[in-house]
Amino acid sequence: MKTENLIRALAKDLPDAAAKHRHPPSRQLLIAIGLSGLLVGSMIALLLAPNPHLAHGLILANAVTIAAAVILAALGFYLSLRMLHPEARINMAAFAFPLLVLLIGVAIELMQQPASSWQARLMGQDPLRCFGLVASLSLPILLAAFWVLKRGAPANPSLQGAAAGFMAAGITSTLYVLHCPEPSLLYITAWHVPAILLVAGIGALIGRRWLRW
Amino acid sequence: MTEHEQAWSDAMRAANRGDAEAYAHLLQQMTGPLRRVIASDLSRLGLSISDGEDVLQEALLAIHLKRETWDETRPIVPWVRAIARHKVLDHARKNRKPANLPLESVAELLPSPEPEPTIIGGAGPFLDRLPRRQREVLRALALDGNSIREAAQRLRMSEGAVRVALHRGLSALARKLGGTS
Repeated sequence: MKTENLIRALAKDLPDAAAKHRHPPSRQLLIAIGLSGLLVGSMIALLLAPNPHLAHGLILANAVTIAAAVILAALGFYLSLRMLHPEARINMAAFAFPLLVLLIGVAIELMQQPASSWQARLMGQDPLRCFGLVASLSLPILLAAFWVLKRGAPANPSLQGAAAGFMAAGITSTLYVLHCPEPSLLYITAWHVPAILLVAGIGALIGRRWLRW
Repeated sequence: MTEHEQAWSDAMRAANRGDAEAYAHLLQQMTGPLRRVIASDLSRLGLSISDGEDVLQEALLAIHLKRETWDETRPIVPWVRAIARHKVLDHARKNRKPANLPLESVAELLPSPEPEPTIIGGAGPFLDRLPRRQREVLRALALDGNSIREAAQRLRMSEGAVRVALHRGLSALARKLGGTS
């Protein structure tokens, strides 16, 4: 096909002014993560035992976890939207910020708690279950996000997928506080962070295939 | 390219409001500058510029299918440039040669008879592999220059069905060209 013929076909594929406009991607992404987050949140609230510490107000571990996870989710959301545009220049270093928040919390915890309790705090009751739940409960949100992000034209589809993974894992980690019985940031850092990195890695792998354009 | 900023962004805004004439004109205006930057990118990467027309067509398809990723409040030239660069890199990735070529294969690298430069590599045969409706619609609209209405009458389809087949055909074309094939 000659280039001029292609252009002729492209111009005819332009919808007329009366055509329905789709929601902007920001709105669609909010809807997608809102609905999938609601699903994941209900699963945590209905199927898993409630966090026993929440009844007594917000303990340090829960408060810092929520702060770090919300920052992570917000960064992931913002960068996912920016990356829809091919000309965007993206710096993933910002994702170190929520980790920093968590590490400051860990430092406070270590100062407050006797060294003899650190081992028990690190390992908790059932760390692999926690790791597996955070990772797998992130996947519905990740998939919902991909359904919107397919509209984009990311310069680097793997990075776009990783950012979406951070967003999904951040949302799940926030919701997981509803259940998480471990009152320790040492534990959260040791077991949630690898789960979050795993989800980002899965996002990068899927993005590389699905978000190609 | 930057000297086109005003004209291109005005035309794309008009296109977003349904002005097909401004849109066709815009794509024609973009073709020359795009062809030049693609050729220069290809040669900088040490790739044959004889594939330039294929990459140009992939870029035009991407500009069309991804045009909502241009934010009307931002400059359009960096956006066009980024799409062209992406398509060049994509092309480079697909045509990556092993770093150490054995000596006997050098002969294969010598210039062979050039393919007809204005035909998408494989698009002729590719068009044949599209579902029948999409193929017929693309032929009628792109090659024969029919309007949507003429194509609808000729192919005994509704105009809506012609539009759907056209859009699907173009998306399939983009996937095929940019895909893993």
